[in-house]
Amino acid sequence: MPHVVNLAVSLSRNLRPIIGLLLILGATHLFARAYNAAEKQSHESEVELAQDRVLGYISRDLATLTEVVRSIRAFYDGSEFVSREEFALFTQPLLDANPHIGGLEWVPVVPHSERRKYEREARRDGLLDFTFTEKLEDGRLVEATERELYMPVFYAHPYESNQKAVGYDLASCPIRRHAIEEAASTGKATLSAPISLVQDSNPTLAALLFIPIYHAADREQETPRGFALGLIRLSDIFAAGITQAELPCELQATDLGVDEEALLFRSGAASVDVPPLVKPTRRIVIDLAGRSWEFTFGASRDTISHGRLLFIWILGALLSVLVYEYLRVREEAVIRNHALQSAHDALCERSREITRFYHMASHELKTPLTSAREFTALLLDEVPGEVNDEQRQFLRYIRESCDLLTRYINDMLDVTRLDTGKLSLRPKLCDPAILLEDMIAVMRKSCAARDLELVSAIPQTSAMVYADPQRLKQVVSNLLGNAIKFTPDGGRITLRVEPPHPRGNHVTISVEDTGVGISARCREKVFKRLYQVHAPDDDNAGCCSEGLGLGLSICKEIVLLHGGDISVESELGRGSTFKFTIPVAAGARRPIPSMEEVT
Amino acid sequence: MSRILIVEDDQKIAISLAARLRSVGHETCVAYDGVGGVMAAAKEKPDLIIMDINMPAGNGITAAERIRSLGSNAGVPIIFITASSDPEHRQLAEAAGASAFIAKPFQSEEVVRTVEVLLQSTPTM
Repeated sequence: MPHVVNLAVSLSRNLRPIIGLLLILGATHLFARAYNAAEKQSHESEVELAQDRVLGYISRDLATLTEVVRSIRAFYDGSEFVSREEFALFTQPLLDANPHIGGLEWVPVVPHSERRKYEREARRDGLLDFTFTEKLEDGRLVEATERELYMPVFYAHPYESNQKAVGYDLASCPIRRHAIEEAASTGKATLSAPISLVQDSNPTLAALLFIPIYHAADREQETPRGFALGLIRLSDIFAAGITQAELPCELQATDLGVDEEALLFRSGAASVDVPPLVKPTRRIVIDLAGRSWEFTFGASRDTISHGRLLFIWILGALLSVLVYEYLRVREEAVIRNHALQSAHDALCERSREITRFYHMASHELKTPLTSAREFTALLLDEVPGEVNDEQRQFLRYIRESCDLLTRYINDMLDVTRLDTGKLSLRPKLCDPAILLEDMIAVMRKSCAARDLELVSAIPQTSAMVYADPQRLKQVVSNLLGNAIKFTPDGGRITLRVEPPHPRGNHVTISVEDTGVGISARCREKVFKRLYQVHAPDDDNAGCCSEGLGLGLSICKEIVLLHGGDISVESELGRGSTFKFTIPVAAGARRPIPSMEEVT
Repeated sequence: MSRILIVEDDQKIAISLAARLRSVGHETCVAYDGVGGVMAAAKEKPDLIIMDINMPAGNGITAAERIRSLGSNAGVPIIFITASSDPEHRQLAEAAGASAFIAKPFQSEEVVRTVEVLLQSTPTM
């Protein structure tokens, strides 16, 4: 159960970082998807362009084939007889210019009666074993059986690659005869369905283009005297087209015959017996020379750049981890700050409580102290009856202790007031010279007891200042008290009030003694609260320390509240001078009579 | 010789004050809370009242206001005594017609001096 709670706590603390992490991962996913889609689209359009280029190259190749074969017909139209040599001479440059054409042939229409004549003629041309041939089912070429009309390949150029076809009776093959009949009946260039060439030892698919040639005299005659034939090896033109177009996908071309479909080409397949393309993405049918060829394109390869996608994901993952860490650290800082703030608040509250307690306690102490002092005073004044000398002395000690306690309580109260900002001045226009003159008489008593000389260096008037008279007296009384405490018997203490310098704007009040002095190290600290000059680790060895260590710090704060400043100069063994300033009241540089005295 | 009423919840302070004032020739009576103070003021018709501010039953300021509202005591001088240095107390006391204000811990000489000054400036009834 605690585990569950811990998990819940850690989850709730990490909620924001986790949300940040998920957001970045989500954004990465979306970006990767968008990037992928854009890549795919641009790739697809590129692929489509390549496909169009392939179609263009193949159409162009077939168009030039048609042109070349037409030019042979034109050649024949101009001459009733073309010799084997003339045919070779005429076709050679055409083949040179169009290397995709596998061969150009002259196919005469030969009635049985003229078969011998043709065979003799060919042998005379140097083809010694020339004979009309046909193909058996097992693929062997044999002498053609007797029939009414023969359509043998009579001239073929280039001879070397088409040697076996020479003499082959095209009428013996239904596919070829079908194309020939189509050409004869329409009189136009006609493409055959794909066939296997007899001249190639490996079965290669090819297409033949026939154009009928008529006798010059009777163009309208039904039977042509022969056919000009151009052949293209399909794998050659398709492979060249694919390479040139840089086609990045599979291609399958099919001849759409009336009765059956025949495969023309299948990219990447050596054999003809290949399964049809799976998931074809595009299908285009082109009509050329009486046939319809269907082009089917497969799915393109390398549609996705995995490297870049991986890069995007790595970047996204890094970023999300960074964001997670950042948010987590920030969250922790917030929690820590919160804890610090509550600790701080608690401490402040505690401090306020302590201050309140001191305030209350100080007040509560006052009442019993007052009555203790009062009864002592009554006894000393012999109100209830006479006291002897020893009793009187003891009673004086009690009274002195009461006075000391009173001072401490007042100091503690002042400190709590300073801490709570409740020490409010009740300032009046007053002249320090006049104000402090009274104090001398009071202090002289305690000095006399110690055989100390108290010198008053106070002029008749100094300047009017705007100050709380009680507080001002408190400061001076404190300084004088310290001086008395730290000056050995027989020493001298001087209270000095200096009017402002001609250009100055404050009254300076100083208390000088011929006491033990304060070391440089201690001088820095004397105005700090709770600081007491201690023996023996201090330079002021042998000095007694009593009191709460509050007096000088209160003096300093009171002087500062009045807008003045306090400082000390001292030399060990020679004495100290405490000096403070009180600003002169604005517009009251010269002494003016005290305006009020409230009772 | 004058009649002085001391209203102070701390018995010891009340007794010491009374003893001090008697020693200088005054007649005193003492009440230990605000209510008692009001009753004593009505009964004794004092020439001067010394009043503590913080007391358990009825604080000094309220008591002073009551006493002032009694016709026969309307003009009697009242000296307030308090251990609190809260300026607010002082203002309230002044509003209630304080003649003087003395802070604890006080010295009896101060009280006697204040009493004499006030009695001289007030016409005796």
